[in-house]
Amino acid sequence: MKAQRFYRFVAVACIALLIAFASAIPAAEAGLKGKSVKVGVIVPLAGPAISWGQHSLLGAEIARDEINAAGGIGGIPLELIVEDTASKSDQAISLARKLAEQDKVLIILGPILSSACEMVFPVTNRMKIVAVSPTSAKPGVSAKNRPWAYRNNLTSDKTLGPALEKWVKDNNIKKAGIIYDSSDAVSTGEGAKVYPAFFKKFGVEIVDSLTVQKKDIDFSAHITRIKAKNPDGVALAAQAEQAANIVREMRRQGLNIPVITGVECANPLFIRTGKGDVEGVWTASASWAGNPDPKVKKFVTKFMKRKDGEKPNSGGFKSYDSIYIIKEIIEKYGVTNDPKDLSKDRDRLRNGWKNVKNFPGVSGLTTINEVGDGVSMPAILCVKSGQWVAAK
Amino acid sequence: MLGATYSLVAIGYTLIFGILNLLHFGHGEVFMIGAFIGLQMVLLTNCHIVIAILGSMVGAALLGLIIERVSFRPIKKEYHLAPLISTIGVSIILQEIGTRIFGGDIVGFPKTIRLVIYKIGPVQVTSVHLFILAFALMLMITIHLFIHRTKVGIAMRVTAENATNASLMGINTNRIVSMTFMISSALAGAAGVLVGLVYNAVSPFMGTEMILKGFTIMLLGGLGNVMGAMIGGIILGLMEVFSVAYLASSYKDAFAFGIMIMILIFRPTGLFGTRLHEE
Amino acid sequence: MFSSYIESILIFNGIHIIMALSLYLPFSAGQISLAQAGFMAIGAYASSVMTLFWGFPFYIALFLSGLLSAMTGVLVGFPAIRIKGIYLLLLTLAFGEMVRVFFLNFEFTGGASGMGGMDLQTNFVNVYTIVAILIIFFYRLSKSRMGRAFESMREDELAAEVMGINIVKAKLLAFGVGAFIAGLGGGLYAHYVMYIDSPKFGFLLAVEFFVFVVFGGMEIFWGPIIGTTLLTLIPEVVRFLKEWRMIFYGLVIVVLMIVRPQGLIDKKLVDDITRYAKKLF
Repeated sequence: MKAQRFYRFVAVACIALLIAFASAIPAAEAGLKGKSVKVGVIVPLAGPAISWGQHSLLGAEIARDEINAAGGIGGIPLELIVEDTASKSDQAISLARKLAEQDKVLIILGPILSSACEMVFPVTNRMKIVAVSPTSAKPGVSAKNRPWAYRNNLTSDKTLGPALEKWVKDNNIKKAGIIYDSSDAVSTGEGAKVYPAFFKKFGVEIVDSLTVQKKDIDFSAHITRIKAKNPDGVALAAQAEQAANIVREMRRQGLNIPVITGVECANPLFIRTGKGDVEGVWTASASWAGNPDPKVKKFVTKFMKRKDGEKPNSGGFKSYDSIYIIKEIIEKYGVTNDPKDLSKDRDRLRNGWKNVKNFPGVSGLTTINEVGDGVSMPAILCVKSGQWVAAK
Repeated sequence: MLGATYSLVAIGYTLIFGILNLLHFGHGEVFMIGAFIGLQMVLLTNCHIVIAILGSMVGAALLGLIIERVSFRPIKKEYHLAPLISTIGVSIILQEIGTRIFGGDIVGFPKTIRLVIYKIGPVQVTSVHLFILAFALMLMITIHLFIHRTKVGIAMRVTAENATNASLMGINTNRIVSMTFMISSALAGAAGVLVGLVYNAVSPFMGTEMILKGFTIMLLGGLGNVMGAMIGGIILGLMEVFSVAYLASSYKDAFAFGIMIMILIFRPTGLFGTRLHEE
Repeated sequence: MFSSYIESILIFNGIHIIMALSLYLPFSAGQISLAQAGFMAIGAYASSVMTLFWGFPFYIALFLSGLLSAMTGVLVGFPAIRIKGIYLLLLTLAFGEMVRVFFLNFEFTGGASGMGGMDLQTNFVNVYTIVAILIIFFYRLSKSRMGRAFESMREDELAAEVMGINIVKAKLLAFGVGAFIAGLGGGLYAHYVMYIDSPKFGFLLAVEFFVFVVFGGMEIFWGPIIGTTLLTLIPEVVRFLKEWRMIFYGLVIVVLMIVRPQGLIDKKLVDDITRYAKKLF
């Protein structure tokens, strides 16, 4: 009895202390130095990757506007300095240098494409500034560039595991076929490594593995061939519109077996291209626009209003969250924003990113793992009446 | 199936190359804009797909005319590479305009044709595919008749043989050049809508790939040979489909380019010979 | 000397100049080539394999990969002996694409996932030293027997042959040396960006180099140098135009081709400038 009371007292005391500290910290810190908190953004705003760039930029802009409407960070507004790579990955190198040295930003959000990350991360590592990619999903890219490279995105191998397990079990898959785009780095990783590894683990026999190319538009021969092997299900890895067209061709040829797709497909484009034919297709994603969570709903509504009714893809979610994580780190880790402290502040941000744990955002609870990739519980999704919903 | 749409694009290349001796790098972008015009017509006015195709043909023809006036006619004729480079400039501009107006996202066509599946032996064909094939063939026959039977068509062929002689014979070569651009562009516009229909995805970057395909076909059929382009397109379409079954798809492209090199080395006139002049 | 942003842009510019000059060499002998991106890829991959897997010193790797590229260049040059004009353009385009597809599927160099982890070896000094050497080379070439042979071949191949120029040798030489220069460019590129993947070296890149050369002018080697520099810097300088900058870039190309179809710099302009300069001093 007595011990219990003592513990309760300690608990209350702790909470009281915490509250006292929590209110004391902003007071002590009130007001960062300088005119604004500068965050650099490197995104493609022209060329083939434009869609990812626009969504990621808009996600970050919505976060910026919310933060600034609520008084900014430490009393000064957040400023995004946006640079366009025009989908040319090597341009990102010059831009990262510009942002770090000319604009003296605290941190860089981007780049978007994995190939650009491969080029930029070694550069930012050398300049000792954090770069956070909201989208890159190619396994191993941030692991190579410790300690300044971060990706607030789950790599494809980690995302797909749980979904594949459930898919195999629920649909009783014994024999599976694989079709993947061998001209795309992420899709090749999924189709040639992730799927075979997990299928082996779950005891699924792979009856056939076929490849397509980015610009292919006719898949009838692929499907005819895979149909002849009589699989129980098909695992796809390709860009959304292409994967959707492969599914359409399957349905056209009357191959109505379960399908699971890679992380590239967890967006509205897949459903828009596939129409009714992609009903029942599975995938996995850390963030999805149909999430009933009110926070997500609010964000999706705002996003759609500013993008003519378009729902955000994962880039939008992840960069929105990333900006809020940056805000939290600046407030928590004593970033001063004093030009004299620039290198110290950048190091504080690196330390902050390393220690992100269970950050509650629009893409679930985010934790940064030991290789610098954001881990969050991926949702297992399936298409139902033209929407991505949680697969049951 | 798709081969027929490739043919449409390649005929455009062939006409422009045959008559103007110009590799038109902006042609793929005309194809893309054509697809978007068709898509927007269906989305906005909910019109029949045939009307949308005709609309996009008109739109693309106008675009072709503008391209000709802006980037071909003002350039002096004795410089062969300058117009080629200016069409590259045009293609950059068109692609950017495409992304600005239509957004960078890929858009799909709404269902316009009722999907019926026909079985012919082991092959399954949908109504969409049949429609595309029929429409493309019809356009090809029209263009063939146009070139061989009408006065303008004959004038075009004469110009292709020798522009100076043609103008001496009283043919307004400037008008013929404009006509060529317009007809080629109209075909590309139609092809854009048809490809958009079957693939159900229209994006501002769909033109770039078409340039390469168009070149390959043009070469396959013989530079400047309209009939060759038609058959070449269908061959490439078939090759793309069947190579999957017998070759790894990743090597398919290498295969296609290998054929291209072989043809260039051993039979530079193409499989069907070059009707129009050689450089 | 400069901020590292400017330095970075200048390094890319230097690599582009090297690539444009590699295209200009066969060009000056009347050989149009869209294969330079392919040669660049060979140089980039070969040099990376040598430094990364085999531990070769950078400059030796750079030179050897240039030689490898030159050997492939000569191979491409053989069919080019017979083929001319647009046909050659298409042949070289097909070759470049085959190189791209090859590296896309070649697992030894990473296949579709690319190749990374090279050391940063390329810097302002070594890039522009090579550019300077090339300028001297092209200057000497333009005054040499071979240079004049190239020029006469460009003007009229038949006449050149009649005059006793060994066309076969000249063409193979032009292709081979051009490919060597492109291989150097590729090696420098790979050791600057530190990650290469095959889609980068597609036909659009070859077209870009082609535009650089024709834009600048093909009569004299200053053309590609000035053309490249302008077209590399314009998109950077007009960044304030935001999403309209690429349209501006396209417009510049079209307008220049209308106003100066022979390219920005031609012999006459260079002569005028020299005369003017002489008068001045």
